[in-house]
Amino acid sequence: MSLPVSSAYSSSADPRSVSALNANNPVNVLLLAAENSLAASTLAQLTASQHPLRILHRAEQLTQELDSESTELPDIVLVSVDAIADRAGQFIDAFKSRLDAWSIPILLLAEPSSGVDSNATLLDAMAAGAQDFISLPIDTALLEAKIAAQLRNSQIQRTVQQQHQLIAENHDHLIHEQQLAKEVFDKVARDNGVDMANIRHWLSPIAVFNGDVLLAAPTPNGGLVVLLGDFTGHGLAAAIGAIPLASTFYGMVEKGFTMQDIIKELNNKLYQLLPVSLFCCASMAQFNFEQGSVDIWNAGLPDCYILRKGSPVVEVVSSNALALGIVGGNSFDAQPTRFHMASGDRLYFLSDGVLEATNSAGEQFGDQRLKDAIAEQHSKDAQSGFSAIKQSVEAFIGEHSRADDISLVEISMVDAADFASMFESGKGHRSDDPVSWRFQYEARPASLQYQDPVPLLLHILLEVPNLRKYSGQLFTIISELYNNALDHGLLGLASGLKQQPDGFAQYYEMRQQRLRELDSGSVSFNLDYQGDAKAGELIVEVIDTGDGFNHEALLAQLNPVDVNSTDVDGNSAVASLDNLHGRGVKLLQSVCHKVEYLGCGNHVRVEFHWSS
Amino acid sequence: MAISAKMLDAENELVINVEGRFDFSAHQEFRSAYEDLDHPPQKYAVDMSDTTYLDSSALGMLLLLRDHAGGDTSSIRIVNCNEDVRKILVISNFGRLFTIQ
Repeated sequence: MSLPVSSAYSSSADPRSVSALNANNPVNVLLLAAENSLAASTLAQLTASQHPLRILHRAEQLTQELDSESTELPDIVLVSVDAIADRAGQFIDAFKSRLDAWSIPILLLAEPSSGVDSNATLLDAMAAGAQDFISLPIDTALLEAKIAAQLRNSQIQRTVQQQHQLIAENHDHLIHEQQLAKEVFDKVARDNGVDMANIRHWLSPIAVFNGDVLLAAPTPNGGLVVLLGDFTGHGLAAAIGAIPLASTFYGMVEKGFTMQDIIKELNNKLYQLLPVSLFCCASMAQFNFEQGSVDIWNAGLPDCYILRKGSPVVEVVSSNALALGIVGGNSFDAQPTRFHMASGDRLYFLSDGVLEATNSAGEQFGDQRLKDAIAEQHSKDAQSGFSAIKQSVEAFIGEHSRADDISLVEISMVDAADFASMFESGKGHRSDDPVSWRFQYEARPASLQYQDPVPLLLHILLEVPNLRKYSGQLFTIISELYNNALDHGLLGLASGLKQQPDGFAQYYEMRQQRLRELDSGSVSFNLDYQGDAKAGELIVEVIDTGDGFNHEALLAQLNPVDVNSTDVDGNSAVASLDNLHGRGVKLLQSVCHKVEYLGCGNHVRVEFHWSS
Repeated sequence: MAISAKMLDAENELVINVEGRFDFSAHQEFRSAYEDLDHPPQKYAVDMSDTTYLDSSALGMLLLLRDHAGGDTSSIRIVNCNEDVRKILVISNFGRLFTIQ
């Protein structure tokens, strides 16, 4: 009695979701047994209780049946030992992988009076993967119970397999997403800046995408801004914040915004973007190599350290601000602290991973050990000193632990000229083609009140590759000319005010007030550039609508025709010049080839020349 | 790690007690301690006398509580911190957002 395949196996939507034997839950049974055998007749009684049964008589049929893609699979396969006799192991092997994929159990039936050595056959078959055997004769109810037990097991196995597969798929998916996030992040972080010669770092990511971010970029006026950030969480959670953090950081540093403005913008951006529980602890520093000063800001990261050349005393810069992205608005405390650093002095940034690095005894490395390790380097050169610090952490945690969440950064103060050459060697590109253009920009009250045009103009100038290395000078030119035109020209402020006690505060208060009240006038810029690979000339003209000033007297005092007419110290000249806006003009003269005032003094024209 | 909460009716304050390590594994339990209350309290206190350690995701959970309690207008005390826990809260400047006692 063999039932047609189609009707026999279509009794339920998922024939393998069976967990018990009953009439409502028919089980598809496939039997391999000889005709008229005890196995066949025993199973026939099962069919009577509404379980579809197919009986195959030859072993080859079973293999074919299971190999055929079009056949619906049974829930369980019963095999009479007599039917496979002496090649049991081989036979089970042949179709076991197909059954395993669906967790379909194989149950052996041992007939009582066969001539086959049933013990040996059973052992072979069980070794090859058959689940169990039943000795015939057997009561129908017991047989049903045995089959039901096997089906329960296979159901559990199937569930485990499915869950395992789901976890594996999700994991692959997660890794894939983290890799994508990392790729995007690397693109946003592009030059990354951290490969500059005065920066040494030790970053060991815990996952594909670490929660720690290190960013560094040179400023237009020849400085350097470095940020170490530590996002709550790892992986994608960190990437979500790191991408806007990096793009905002690079965009703003390049355009010459102050560190305070950058911090506020980073905070606002992360506050808007991140979920409440996600934020970024950060240490940030802006190096001014000309002045030998560093502005440091620490928000939620462990103490930063300053190591002075030749002194074993380590200075501490503690966190004094809330991490980025927790509170919004302008009340955010973005005020950095200024430190003076001489060439060879070093600044250290770290996240808590270094301090929490643990040895086999469960002890943490801690801040005292780190401070000691840093202090020991005061007489060594920076390169070997940094390696020594790294080694002392690694020696402490030993070989058994992994230093897998560590971020430690060292930035050295260097001479301005040295830094300029590091930066230049880092940037490979230059343009050999001649370039010639003119750019005009007029700022009216509404934009003067809300927007500083200096970053915009610098951005345009620094689009010329050959001008980039003069970013410091260009910043001086544009910002001095703009401030003079606005403060003295449009707002009519006298710089003499700044000489008095409280003068600075008063000056800026008046400046704010007059700027608010400004309702007419403008400042116009005229940039004219001509150059090639070897040399170039930039002419900057700034015209304000103010009343001008006695520029002839100023220039005469700055450039006396008769050198002997100033006193030996130059005191009198300097003192009187301070009453005018002399210092700024003097600075311009030191940078520019030519500085001249036209008209009533409301029109200034400077020439900047460069040649390689 | 175990989280329990009790309501001080007189003060209208919900006191959440965090036992053991306060880290990401406490996420669900911590949230359910203050969410879906029939009568939301006016004030909250997080009692850390039995808290051994606190990580940055715990700081995030405290921020979630603060957000739930009304953000800038919230009133949340963090009490009985041990030295390690206090240090983390101080480094993070959480004293500006919570009353640390």
